Amino acid sequence: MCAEPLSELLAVGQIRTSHGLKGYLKVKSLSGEFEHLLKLKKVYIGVVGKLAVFEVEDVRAVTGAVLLKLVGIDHREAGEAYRGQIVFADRRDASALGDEEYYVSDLQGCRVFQRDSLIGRVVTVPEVSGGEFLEVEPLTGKRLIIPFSKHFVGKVDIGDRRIELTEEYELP
Amino acid sequence: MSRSVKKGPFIAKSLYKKVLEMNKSGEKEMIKTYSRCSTIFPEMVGYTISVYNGKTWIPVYITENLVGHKLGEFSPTRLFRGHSGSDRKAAKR
Repeated sequence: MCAEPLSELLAVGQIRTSHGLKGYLKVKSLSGEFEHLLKLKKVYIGVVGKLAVFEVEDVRAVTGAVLLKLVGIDHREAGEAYRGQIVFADRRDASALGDEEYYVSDLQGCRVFQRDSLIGRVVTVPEVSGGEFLEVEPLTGKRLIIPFSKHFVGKVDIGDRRIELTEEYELP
Repeated sequence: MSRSVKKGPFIAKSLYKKVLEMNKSGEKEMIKTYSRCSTIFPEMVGYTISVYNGKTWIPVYITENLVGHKLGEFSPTRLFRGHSGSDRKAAKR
């Protein structure tokens, strides 16, 4: 199991619909935060491998979303063509991280160790009201669900794509 | 309708027995349980209880804040995975 490199682009939003006659796109934030979306200068739209680059002409905040006006999308019909597509931005333009906070996309793919022995690899980070969990694909057996708490998860090294579990965690 | 006060909070007898035994012996081992509806008692604080979610066991470390809740509240049965590669953040609590 070798570590995958970190992605330079992060998905920051999803286009819900076009708004108005001038081609504004209504974008819902994937992180739940909006401040970083208001500062965007350049975005990528589409799927990874087939991304179209757009300069941002104007941004406005509305309830629960932002309106993006992109250069080259000047009328409603042109905006409708992008409905449902994912908006990507450079990593530096994504929402800022706090203490002991990590992007879910960075945690995905990390190798999980306990006492220096490899347990598996993080597949997803499910979001539950009580906090986050790491869903780990082990080398053998069923997937593990590990609470992302200090009690069970020790050092997280995103650069090395490595997560250490504490002694407290016992394999089921 | 809330449970009658006369009856007291519910806990599976086998689970309560295991917790009391661990309290007596002073050992700390992970307890596995299927009893999601058991109430978290103050005697459980400091222990890790693995709660079944219908598919796998999820470890729950019992702290004072959890007392009075049910074990099942901390072992989700449905997981929303969201969009992969997004800038959604996960904070270690």
